[in-house]
Amino acid sequence: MSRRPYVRPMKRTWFMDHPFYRNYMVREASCVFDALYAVNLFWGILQLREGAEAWSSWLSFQANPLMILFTVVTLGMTLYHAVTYFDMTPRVLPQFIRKKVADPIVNKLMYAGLAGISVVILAAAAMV
Amino acid sequence: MSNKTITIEILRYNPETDEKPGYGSFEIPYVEAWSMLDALEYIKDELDSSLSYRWSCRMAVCGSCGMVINGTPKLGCETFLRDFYPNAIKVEPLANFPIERDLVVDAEDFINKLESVKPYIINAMEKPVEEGVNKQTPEQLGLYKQFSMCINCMLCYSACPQMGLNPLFTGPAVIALGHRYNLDSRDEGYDQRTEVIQGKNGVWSCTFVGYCSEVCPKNVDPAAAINQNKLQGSQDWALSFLMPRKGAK
Repeated sequence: MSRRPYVRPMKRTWFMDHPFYRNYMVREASCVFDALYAVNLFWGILQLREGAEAWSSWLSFQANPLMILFTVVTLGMTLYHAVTYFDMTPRVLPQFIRKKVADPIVNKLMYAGLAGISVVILAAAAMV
Repeated sequence: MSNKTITIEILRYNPETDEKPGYGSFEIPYVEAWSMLDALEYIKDELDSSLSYRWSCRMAVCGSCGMVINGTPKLGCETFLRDFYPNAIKVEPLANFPIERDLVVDAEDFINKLESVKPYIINAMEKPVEEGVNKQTPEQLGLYKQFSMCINCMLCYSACPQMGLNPLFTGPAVIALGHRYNLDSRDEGYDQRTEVIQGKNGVWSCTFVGYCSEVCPKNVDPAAAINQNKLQGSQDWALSFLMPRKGAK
């Protein structure tokens, strides 16, 4: 009797086979939207340097319905990424910390941190 | 036995006659108390004696009967027909392993990786017997206990897509076991395991899909072990600049 182990090829669409993999791919894909949005913001800064006219044309471009749709989708993807990221963070902490602080507490601290930073940024924006 | 039946579809492969694997379908009596392992036993005894699968303890301790049941890596002994009845159940060998025959996979690569991480206590200073035993507090034990529960069932390897994309990846269970010994207060083998754990095919091949921890029948949480080592590796790397003479830990 001879051995002839069979190696199954991995499908290109492997991530469609299981809901867990699909959610993972959505989480990973959120970075594409964030990267595009960062490019948009960077372009906005460059337009601000160009002068008032360029800046207002960038602002009116942001009011384009397609841009609003893109912004809303990016916000949704970013929130999804944040929620899944915060769920995973406690498990990355060194084991001696993880043994002392329960996962849900670390998870809630992440949200508290996000809220704190958001308040600081919004307050700074309101002062300008 | 009642007249109820259930259909089991099994991915069959006979290296002597088959070019590639194909499904074989079996209709067997439905018994509420039967596990998938009981069903396979019935098929082998009554319907097709050539069916090949691994099993031993029947109680989720030995880790022999890992298989993919309806797309999810599970132990055959703790998966029950009643959770699927009356639908048909699809059974395949573990993914990301070469199929030896039917549900039996070739685990040699896994065993080699397991050996490479040195999953045993390495004591740099072997103590003479007169000095007594190595003591360990319950707290020190608690630090690694979870990672020591691994039964080498390889379900996490079947669940890991990175394993399929990069077969050289050391993988969840092996890294979790390396981590288990690194966390042991009696062990001094950290440096010897670093090459495997932090190397090219170590923890950095992981993208934290996290499915390995979902399918683990012993709640080892190998994804945590891997990602704790990413943090540790980054720390060692940064420290190697601050304290070049001491090097990375």
